[in-house]
Amino acid sequence: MVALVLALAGTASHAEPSATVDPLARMQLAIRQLDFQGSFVYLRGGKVEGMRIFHAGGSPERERLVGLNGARTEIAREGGVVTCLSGDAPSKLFDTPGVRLLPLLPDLRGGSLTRYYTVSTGEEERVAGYRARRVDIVPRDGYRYGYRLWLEDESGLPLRSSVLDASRRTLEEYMFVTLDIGTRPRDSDLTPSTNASVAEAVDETRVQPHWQVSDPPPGFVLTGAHRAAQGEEGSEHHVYTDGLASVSVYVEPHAGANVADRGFARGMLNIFAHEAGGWRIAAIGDVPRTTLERMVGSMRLLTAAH
Amino acid sequence: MNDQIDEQLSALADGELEREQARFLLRRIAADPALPFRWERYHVARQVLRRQETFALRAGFAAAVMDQLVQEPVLHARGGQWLRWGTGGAIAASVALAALVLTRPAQVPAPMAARSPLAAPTIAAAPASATTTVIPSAGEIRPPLLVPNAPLDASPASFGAEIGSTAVLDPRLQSYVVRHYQAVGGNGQSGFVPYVLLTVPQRQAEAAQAGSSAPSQNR
Repeated sequence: MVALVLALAGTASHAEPSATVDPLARMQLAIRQLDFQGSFVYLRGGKVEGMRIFHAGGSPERERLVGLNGARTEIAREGGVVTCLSGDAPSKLFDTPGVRLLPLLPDLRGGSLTRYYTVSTGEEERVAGYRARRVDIVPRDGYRYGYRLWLEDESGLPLRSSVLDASRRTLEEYMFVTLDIGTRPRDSDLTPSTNASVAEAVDETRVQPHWQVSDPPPGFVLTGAHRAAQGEEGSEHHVYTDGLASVSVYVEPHAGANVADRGFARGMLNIFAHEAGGWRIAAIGDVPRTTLERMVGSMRLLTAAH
Repeated sequence: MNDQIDEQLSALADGELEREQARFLLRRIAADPALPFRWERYHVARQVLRRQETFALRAGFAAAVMDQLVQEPVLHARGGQWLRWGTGGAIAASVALAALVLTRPAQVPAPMAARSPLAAPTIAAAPASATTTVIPSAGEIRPPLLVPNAPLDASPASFGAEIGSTAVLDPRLQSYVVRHYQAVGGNGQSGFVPYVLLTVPQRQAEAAQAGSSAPSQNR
């Protein structure tokens, strides 16, 4: 009984007032269930893209995202089946349950949001002609990024979202410029514009991990260890998450001379690769580079039998 | 009504529809221009879910399947699971026959490098310097253009030019990125948008590689 009371007290200490958490839950429902269509600008790594989205709520949920600039890009989703078109290449198909196409939105299914982030509501503003309430999700440390969301007053639909670094600078952002909420898109607007497709061959199976990130940043836990079907023996792919941000760490045998550490960044995506002792370790995620460096630097082999 | 049609289309794609139901549905498909596309989506979804090679269905395939059905002998055995499976198999075979005309090969992953000796890792600090192929700004090249060894808080958002020099991400790292977004699925904050932006049409990628004449230490 004492344990139960302590557990409840612990939960309460992390709980945010319902006035701040509820808008996020409402947003999650809105992006899944509402019919909407509109155009938004997507800012990423110093480049801006124009995109049009069509979304039909219900079961199966259907949506289609079309790039408006440059080479043809298009993504269509029906339930968990996603079709991607890029340029003249054949479209690719993915089986990805739970995915959605509207970018830069926190996924709240992890459940530990308020432990590593604070949530607060801000001013009411006008976005794409709608009244919207601002919601800030601010990380409690420098190992993850924060969000600033503008949620439409009546429906909770996110009209604008920014991902911010520790200095509150925008890394990526989207903002609707036109939006029609409540009108079901036509079937032709939800259907991929090509009939020819090839299935994406990337295939992974779960494995018992032989490696471990011995000193992950606070809150990041292993959710699964995988190995590519065509992967080299000894290779592993680990996925870590704090409930909101996710990091992949790849370990592969490596022959030949080591190259210096490599780091890449674009918008919120960071990549850090390190080679040493016959292994290549790379981490990828929508997190600051310091998070990746800490994970790669503390990667340890668990068993010599491997 | 739509739900019922969807269920029947799904059952047809799985080869689990009774013969008469299949014939009725195929007549509807032939008469309704929207239904073939819906059936194809189920057909493709089924193949994706089973990790099978994916085929594109040619126009008029419903009529071709109907012809196959008409020509096949009708079984008058008692109903039951055996008949259901038998009929379903015949329908599936008919669909495959109609589809083979436009077969596209599934993508085959590139062969992996030879396995290296296993050794315990020694994580040592290495100089943080850019070791990627640096190329001049290329018009249509999109996201595998990343900023090499960007400072921790780089990539300030601004409309206009890229920040810093750009580099083509080597294929191994590109595959890591794709696998990452596939693995995290809906839990990836930016979802499929970055995946599509990271996918460079082959011709553009080749042009970028050809344009990068500087010595490469990329792997």
